[in-house]
Amino acid sequence: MYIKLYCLMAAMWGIPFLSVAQERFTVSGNVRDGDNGEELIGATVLVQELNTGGVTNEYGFFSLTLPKGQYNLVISFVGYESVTEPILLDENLRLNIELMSQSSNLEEVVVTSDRPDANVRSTSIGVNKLDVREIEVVPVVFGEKDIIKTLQFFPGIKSSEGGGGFFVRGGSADQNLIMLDEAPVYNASHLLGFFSVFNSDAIKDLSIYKGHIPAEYGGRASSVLDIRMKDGNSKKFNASGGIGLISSRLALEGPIEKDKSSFIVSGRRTYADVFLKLSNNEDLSNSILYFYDLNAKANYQLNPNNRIYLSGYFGRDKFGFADVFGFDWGNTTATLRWNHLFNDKLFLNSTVLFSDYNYEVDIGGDEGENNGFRITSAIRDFSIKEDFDYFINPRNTLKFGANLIRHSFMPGAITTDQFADVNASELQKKAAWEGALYASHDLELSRRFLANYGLRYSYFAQVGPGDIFTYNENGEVTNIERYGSGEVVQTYGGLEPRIGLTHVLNDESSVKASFGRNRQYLHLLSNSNSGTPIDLWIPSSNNVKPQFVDQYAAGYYRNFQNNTFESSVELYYKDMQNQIDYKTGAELVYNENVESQLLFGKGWSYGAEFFLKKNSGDLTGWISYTWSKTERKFAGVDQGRVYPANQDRRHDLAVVGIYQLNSKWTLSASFVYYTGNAVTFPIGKYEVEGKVINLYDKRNANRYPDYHRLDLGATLQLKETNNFSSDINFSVYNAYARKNAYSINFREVAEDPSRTEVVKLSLFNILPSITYNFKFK
Amino acid sequence: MKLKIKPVLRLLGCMALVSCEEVIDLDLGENEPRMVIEGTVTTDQGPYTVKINQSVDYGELNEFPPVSGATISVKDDQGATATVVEVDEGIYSVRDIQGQNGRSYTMEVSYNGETYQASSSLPPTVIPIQSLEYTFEEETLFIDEGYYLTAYFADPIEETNYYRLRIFVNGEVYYFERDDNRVRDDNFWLINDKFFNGKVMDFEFPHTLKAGDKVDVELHQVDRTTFDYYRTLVELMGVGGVAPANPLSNWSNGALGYFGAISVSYASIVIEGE
Repeated sequence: MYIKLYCLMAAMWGIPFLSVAQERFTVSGNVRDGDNGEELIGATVLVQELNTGGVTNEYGFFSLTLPKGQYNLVISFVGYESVTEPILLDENLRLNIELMSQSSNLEEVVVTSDRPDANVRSTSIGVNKLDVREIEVVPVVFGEKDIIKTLQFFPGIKSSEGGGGFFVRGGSADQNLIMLDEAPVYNASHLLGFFSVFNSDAIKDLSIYKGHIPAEYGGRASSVLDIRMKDGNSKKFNASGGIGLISSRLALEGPIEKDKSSFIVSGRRTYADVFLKLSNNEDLSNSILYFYDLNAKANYQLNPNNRIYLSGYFGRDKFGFADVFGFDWGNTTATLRWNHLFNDKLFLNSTVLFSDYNYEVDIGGDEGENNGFRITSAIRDFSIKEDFDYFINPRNTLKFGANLIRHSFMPGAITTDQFADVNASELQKKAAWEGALYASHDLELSRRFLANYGLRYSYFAQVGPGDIFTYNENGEVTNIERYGSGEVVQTYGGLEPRIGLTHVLNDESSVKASFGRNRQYLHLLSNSNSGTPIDLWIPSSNNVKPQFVDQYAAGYYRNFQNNTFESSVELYYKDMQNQIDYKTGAELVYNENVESQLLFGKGWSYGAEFFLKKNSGDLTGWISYTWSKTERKFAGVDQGRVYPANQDRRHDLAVVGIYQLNSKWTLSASFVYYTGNAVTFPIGKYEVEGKVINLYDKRNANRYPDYHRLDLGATLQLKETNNFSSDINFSVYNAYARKNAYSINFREVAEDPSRTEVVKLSLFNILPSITYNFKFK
Repeated sequence: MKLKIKPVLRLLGCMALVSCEEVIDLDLGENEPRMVIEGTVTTDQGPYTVKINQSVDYGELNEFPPVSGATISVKDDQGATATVVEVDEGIYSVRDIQGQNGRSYTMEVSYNGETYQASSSLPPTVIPIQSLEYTFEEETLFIDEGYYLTAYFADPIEETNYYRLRIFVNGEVYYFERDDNRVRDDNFWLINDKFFNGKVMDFEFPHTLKAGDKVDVELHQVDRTTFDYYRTLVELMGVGGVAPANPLSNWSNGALGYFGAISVSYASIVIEGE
């Protein structure tokens, strides 16, 4: 019995009980891009002789502890030429490996035999990684390349045209943890949702976890979108940028000290208002309408064991008219990180971060008697994180750590000018602590069986100061209790087990299964499907319980032709508890008792996702198809009748193709088709005070018409010199002018009041755009 | 209150840049008709009117069948009762009762074996319109040239107040000129004192007026229930939100419409040219 247990433990932890006497050493180091020194996340380091290996972490670091011997390490990464590094491992080794991008010699795209088969061999299930170079060529609206819009071409990720939010496997828009260099971004939309706040010039890597979410991530119930900013070119200075139809971009990057430290500053600004300024019409020239993004990052290597990164994001939308009206909103994030190597096997990243989202509405008044006022609202996080990576041996990697977040909520305040007729007032501020401990183990039980399992414990405390309200069923206040500063009002907490298992069937196929529980303590209140700048984040409280979601997923993965093609089928079932909806006529804006306006219920979703991707050759791209169903059940909606969630879509198809015509031209096309979202249409009409009013019945009993759209793009590489390159990107959005429904409205016929009509509003007919991109090297 | 909504709407319109509208056919099915009851008791001299008709399917003409032969009773919390007579098909006249500030009223309607009930309270005092003033505005991108009217009234600080304003130009309902359409004023100009408690309220009407226009303004003060009905009705007449639902009616048993006890004051002005 004990021996069995020891054997099991030994197998689990890879304790070499059969070769105790064998000496072991560690080879560790960093994998970087040879052109610009950027660390590569998720590069594979394979020990050819042992047919085992590891991958680099978020900072490009890997560590392999192996028996003494001579090995060939094969280091590879998608889109890069593989490197084989012979080593003699008779002492601990530190390597710095540089891979050269294949795009630097595009003419000879080589299909290598050691192309990563990560999708088959990893324990990840329901994970998509987006290659930033794919974002560059996929056509998008106004030619503004956009990671969030491109993500929607992947299975299980849904969004609407003109909507900033996205929905993962039936989860609501607030269930996605969107992180930029680990800092949460609370509102990822510009211009009411037409663009995302992520300027892809500054982005190095992004992964979205929609199925198995490893235990190091937490805080949102449905998905994690982990976006990592570029570190900056540590080899030489360069400037790149682009001029587009609605915005221009410029990025500067370079070494502070060659190969040791670097910086990047990247900005983007739209300029519709610049044209407005040129107008002779005083009203137009007084209008304000733009947004900008600024990403900045610097890193410094103190010594081989210590590196510091500082990164920040600042973005804002501004919208207004002279001094009559102003509305601006934006995010600020800051991340300070310290990578420390205790030894060749134990890596620590310490993070301090800050995130702020706020908006301000400014109403101008008349001079003298009737002055203006401002409404402001904000959410702010301070957080510290400690994340350890312990590379025990190639078959065992342990991640463990802790984090603590201080959330501050300023739901709303009105400040006034001297003679304002509006009263100054402020809604109560709210505060909360959120903490977590986790451990996560990557285990290779055998060549055939792999596992990632982990446990996360999360804890949440709503704290004073403040008057805490209790409500009855009608939403009336029944009790008010005053809490002092820091006094705990309500706590929640619990375990979040996560497990993903992989059974490798052969070199090209595997089956996987996973289970995960995710708790979510913050909730977004929005009276819009697409998200607006005034959506309100609220903490869990005595009235609002945390959401939690259990997800079961399974998949089959098969690669073809030396991994030229990868394909997968994934199935999932999600059980969602403590979901939030709103009472009829809920007042969500500037309401001290906003919690009394909520309804609580449950939901579930299930679906099948099919994915086929071609990774190399002149033609690359993918096809993704999702069949899914998402339903909700709320006692307060239609007397508990089950209804489809707004984001419920039966069919969702996306096809993306990128064709390298010759060394000058790259062509691209994307096509989407999906079932229209669920919506509540009127079933009849009646008259009140001579006005025709729509009569409604069951929630979401109707559907928008099916949506489909084709976008085309072409990129022309212009003449390249040693220190300058440029290209022109042409794109056509909605190429065959499909009139998709943005909204459907029901109204009286203007010329004939005896009738009503149904009117479909569609956006963006055929929308061509052009962007010029350049790079000084 | 100078929330200038119009410029905001216009700017949003600019952002939609390339939108297009199209009338479509949509089968919304056939449904059982529902009762719609509109009744009020006001501080004005009676009689008051109750109107009962039925809903129709969406595809039909805007002809709503009147409900004739309903039994209606109206009483207040002090025991006063009214006599109710059907004066036309579906139109009923409530007599022998006078709305008194501070009292609450209950109406009961019986028809076809079903009973519908609603209650509403008359706010404690009549709040007069202090004054009506107008200013001339030049043509800009956002507003048409003309005179614009502001109504002033003093909000009592003691309680939460809910108001609805109505405006008639030359004795008729106003029509807004929007692009090529004439849009009838719904006359649901709502305001509460959430942000203005105890202040002199100034409500600026978006109506473009011209010299010589005679303008009548009504200030209705209602209770929370009636205001919630108005508010959710107006939301529905607008965009309707993510999950449109019927307005919060005070009628029991699923009837649509509302029964409101309303405290009314009046003011009039003639716009004089320069």
